[in-house]
Amino acid sequence: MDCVECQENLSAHIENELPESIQEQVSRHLHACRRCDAEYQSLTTADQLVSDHFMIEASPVLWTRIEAEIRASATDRVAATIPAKPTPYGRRLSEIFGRFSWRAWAGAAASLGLALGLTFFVQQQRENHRLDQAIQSYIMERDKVEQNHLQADQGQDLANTDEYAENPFVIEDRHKMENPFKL
Amino acid sequence: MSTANDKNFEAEASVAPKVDTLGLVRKAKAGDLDALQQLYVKYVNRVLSFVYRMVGSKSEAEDIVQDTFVSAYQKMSELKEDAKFQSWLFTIARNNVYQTYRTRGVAMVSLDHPAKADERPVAERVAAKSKTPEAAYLSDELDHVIQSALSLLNDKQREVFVLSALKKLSYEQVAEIVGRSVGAVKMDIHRARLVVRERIKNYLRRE
Ligand SMILES: [Zn+2]
Repeated sequence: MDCVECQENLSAHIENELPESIQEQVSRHLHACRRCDAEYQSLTTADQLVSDHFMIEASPVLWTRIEAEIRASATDRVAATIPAKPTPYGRRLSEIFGRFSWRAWAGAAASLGLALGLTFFVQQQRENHRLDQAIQSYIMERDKVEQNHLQADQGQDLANTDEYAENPFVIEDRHKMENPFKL
Repeated sequence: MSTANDKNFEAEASVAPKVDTLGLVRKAKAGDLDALQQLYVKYVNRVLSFVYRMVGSKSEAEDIVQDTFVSAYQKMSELKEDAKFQSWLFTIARNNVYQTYRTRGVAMVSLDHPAKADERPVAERVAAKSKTPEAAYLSDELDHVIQSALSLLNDKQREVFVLSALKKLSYEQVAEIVGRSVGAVKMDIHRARLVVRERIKNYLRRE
């Protein structure tokens, strides 16, 4: 093996990628040739430096990101293949509404308007009736109060007579009165 | 040093804490999101690092990785050989990288946006803080040096270099992901290594 052939095989020799027979020939040449051995040493040193600093480590969150994307894309695929499933209630509503023409819709709108108007009218009537009742009961209440005041006033007059109405002209013992002209 | 056999899918599963990867792939195919999460735990940092080295921005890379796992889950039934889940996942990530940058019309690896300390997740920043400030600074510096070295490569060289730098991918798997021959991949990886080595040499000389 000459120097050119030896040096061409040096990387493969370092990597143990040569067939055994060629591996041995390279080893023998390196023992014998100082120039090729220096080349081998220098390549090995560089290889070692690269090896020691070549690998990097993944961030701890990388797997979480991968798992999240896989799960999300699985969900997307399910959503894409199966059409969005309406709720039974929503589907029944859409079936019912879809079945009617514009005439039916206009009729329904008119009926709705009429019903609303009637409701309003009845409501108004009821409101008036309630107002009348309120006025009536107010009058009755007022009359009752006045009656009470009247009775109270009369009672008070009688009581006053009892308390204060001493007859200032009553002469308690008129018979004791002597005749002032009597000699 | 790992052997070529370690890079096979089944062997890889036996090295990591015992996880039945094929079983997880089958469950995820049947729509099991927990199984997908376990596959995510197993592969996310490798896929993220690939995308990050291709686009140069951590937040953009995470967006692309998110799309990658989401579409992997959705297209799971299109995976013919369950044992090739990892390569298939990288193929989706790679397509997303090119699609994103084709639609946006932005250069993939940009030197204007080197990795910033603030941009990194909390866990990463805490880890950086537990080191000495010098070590953290060196780490950021080297990150930038690697990114600037990658910007010197053309798209084909860059992607095969980055994929092979993820270690657990064999040349054969890289070839499968990018749809090229193992020989062509091997050659581009070697050329890329020489460019990256020169860039790192210059950086170390300046120190
Ligand atoms: Zn030589």
